[in-house]
Amino acid sequence: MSFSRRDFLRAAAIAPASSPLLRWIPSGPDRSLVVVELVGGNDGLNTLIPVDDDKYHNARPSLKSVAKGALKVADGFALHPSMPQIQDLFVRGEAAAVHSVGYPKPDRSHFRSQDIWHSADPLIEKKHAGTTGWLGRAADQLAKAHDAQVPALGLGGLEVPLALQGVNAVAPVLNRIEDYSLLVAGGGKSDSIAGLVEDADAKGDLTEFVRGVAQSGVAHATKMQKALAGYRAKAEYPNSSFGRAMKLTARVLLSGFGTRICHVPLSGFDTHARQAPTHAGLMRQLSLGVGALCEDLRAHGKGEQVVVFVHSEFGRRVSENKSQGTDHGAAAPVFVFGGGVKGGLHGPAPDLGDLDDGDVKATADFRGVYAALLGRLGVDAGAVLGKPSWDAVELF
Amino acid sequence: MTDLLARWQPSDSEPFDLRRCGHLVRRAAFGASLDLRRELVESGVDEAVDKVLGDRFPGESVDDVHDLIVSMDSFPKLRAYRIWRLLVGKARVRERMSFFWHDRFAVSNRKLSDAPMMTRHFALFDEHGTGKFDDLVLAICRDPAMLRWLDNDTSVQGHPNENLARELFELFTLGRGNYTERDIQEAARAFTGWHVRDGKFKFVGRKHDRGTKEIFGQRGKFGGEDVVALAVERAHSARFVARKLVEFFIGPDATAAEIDAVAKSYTGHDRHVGKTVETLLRSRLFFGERAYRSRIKDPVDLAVGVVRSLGASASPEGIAGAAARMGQSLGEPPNVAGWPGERAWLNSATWVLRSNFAAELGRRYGLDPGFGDAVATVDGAIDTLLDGDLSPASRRALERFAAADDSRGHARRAALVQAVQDLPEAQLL
Repeated sequence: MSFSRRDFLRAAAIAPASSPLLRWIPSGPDRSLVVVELVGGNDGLNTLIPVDDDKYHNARPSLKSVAKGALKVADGFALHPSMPQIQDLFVRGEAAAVHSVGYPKPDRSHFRSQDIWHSADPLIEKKHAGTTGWLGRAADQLAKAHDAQVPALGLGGLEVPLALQGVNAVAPVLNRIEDYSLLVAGGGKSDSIAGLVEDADAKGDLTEFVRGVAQSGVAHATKMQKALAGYRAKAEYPNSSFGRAMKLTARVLLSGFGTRICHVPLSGFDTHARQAPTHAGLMRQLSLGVGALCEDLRAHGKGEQVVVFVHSEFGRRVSENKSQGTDHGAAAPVFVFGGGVKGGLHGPAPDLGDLDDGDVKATADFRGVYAALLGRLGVDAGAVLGKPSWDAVELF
Repeated sequence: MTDLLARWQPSDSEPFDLRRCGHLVRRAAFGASLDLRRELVESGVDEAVDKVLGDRFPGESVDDVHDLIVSMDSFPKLRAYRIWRLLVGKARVRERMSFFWHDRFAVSNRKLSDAPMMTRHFALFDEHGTGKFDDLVLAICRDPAMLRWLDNDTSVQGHPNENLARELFELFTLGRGNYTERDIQEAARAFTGWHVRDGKFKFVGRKHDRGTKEIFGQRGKFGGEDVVALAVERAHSARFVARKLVEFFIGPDATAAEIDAVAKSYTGHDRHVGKTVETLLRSRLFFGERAYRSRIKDPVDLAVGVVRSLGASASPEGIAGAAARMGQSLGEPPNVAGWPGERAWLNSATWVLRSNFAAELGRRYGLDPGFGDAVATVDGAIDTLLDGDLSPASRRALERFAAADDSRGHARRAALVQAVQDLPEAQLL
């Protein structure tokens, strides 16, 4: 692992005065972050279940059934029964959960709460042309510092999420690996396209810009094809769209292509009615997908370099509703896997006797978690998140 | 000062040829087949512009749209329908303006999840997009989709929501710096009670603030209609609209002289957008070098444009999906300011998607087989896809590509579609 003077200075610059520099692990250019977003508001209480809490059982006459057969990860807390792969990561000490993560004045609109998580700005009123996301701002830094050509990618979504919007670069979104391999119509070779683009006009500012993008397009596609050709999965991925996105993530990260940030959405968490079967299916997908990714990375010797972060725009109400579902809530646990994370549960357990309008109160600010992840990535968290008005969460 | 908007007259040195005709149909519409462009060139510039200004599409007014709303029961269907309208028929400025306004009064179905409401929303652009700006803005402020999108249907006397008033001034009519926060607060009061019931606009009198407001220094018991009128009548608004039109029809970095000229035309036309656009489309400014290939194509422009240029018949769903993968999902702009546009569209990954799209279309449709032998095929490809106009460097690059390519027949005509589309010129609008 390389550790340049510049890396050292950057690490030193963002280390809080109180933290001994020795604890800073060098952040070489091969550190990566995978963000899995559970879209729709995941029920945190039925993901990391407070199995011994009577208040939980009272609030959830039907949905508490998952507590039976839940998979213990710490005293009083167990994972949804559909998550054995995630439990395995806890057993290995490669998994952490932070209790009750949220932001001040929780907003129960999916739309606005997603904007808040994506922009890292709890005061965001609405998005404007210049609104950027936390991952996009981080990618801007990485692009500058390491000359990475595609520092961030969206995988498996339809459009570029706000989180990936940067000042300088719009991160591309890939659904299929074929999207980034150059098709050649008519039986020619991609060399011929490369030659064509090379020879094409580049007079004038705009034409030069387009020609430059075309050249990097051909070059990246070629480079990625070569890099990806060498990849062999060393884990079994589930045959779901999320599973395929996780496999694509592994391919991209293991290809040496230079991408450092991946954003992968998993949708369907807005479980207002008959939640149990839907939620169980989603937990299974999440567990199988993330489990396979972590196993694959580990088998390729990259387990230490990649951090997987799982969050949702909000949790759900503590009490279940009349339709055996749950309505929009507030704070919820987030998960961090791999990458030398301090395993186990972080922060105080949610106090179900002290709620905010029926919702779990936040005891950790999401930006404190972001700061830890950015630090691990070797990015100046202050430049991405602004001056901290929150407490850092020590995750590494 | 030369009159930028003086009528452009073709001459021997500057004829109305494939190049200028291509520019016209690309900006004013979504391109046209080579046959149609040749027909327009033949008819001369005046008639060509007349044709592009064209007639109404059947079912275009809001009144006619009811049946359509019933049949648009899902968003993918609506999106395909909107793309289908761009793909079929002659080059029409009304389609262009509906799309133009969609990117400027941007509402996303991602928040609304309501295909009928979005159908009606698009119909407003069809109805008012080439009419008086006053009518368009008022229609949009009473549009259920916009009211939901900007949360105005929770805005009540005593607790006004400022969203609609703010966007009305900032993004729709005036631009930053041309109003005060106080103007917004007062205007927001005027929009209280503008709600949505059963998917339709509903003025709820008892939630409406009937008190006196002061906006732009004028006092009165203003309602929302008054606010719209006050805003569009301001001199700043004429310049604001003019800038949008110049940036679209002429190119980015509008000059003060260009904005002044178009603002003057717009005011002279009593704020009639269609008439202002017509003046622009017939002007020296529009047919001048400054405007030609001065912008980056949107994904929808690129995808629809290639299909139309080839005279192909692609599936609207497929085109909608392809444009979405390239970053532009029709009906789902990222925020109320629309798509960032221009250079933000292009990066290495989206360029590969654009090239792949051309490769697939090439394989499926290819160039007109009538172009025959090798040299003619290159010229045919340039005529079909690039106005018959290419820089010497790009032409040489293409000829070199064609000489090295030993495929024949359909394979060759497919390869050339992609090759032409991979030239920088093909990304420019």
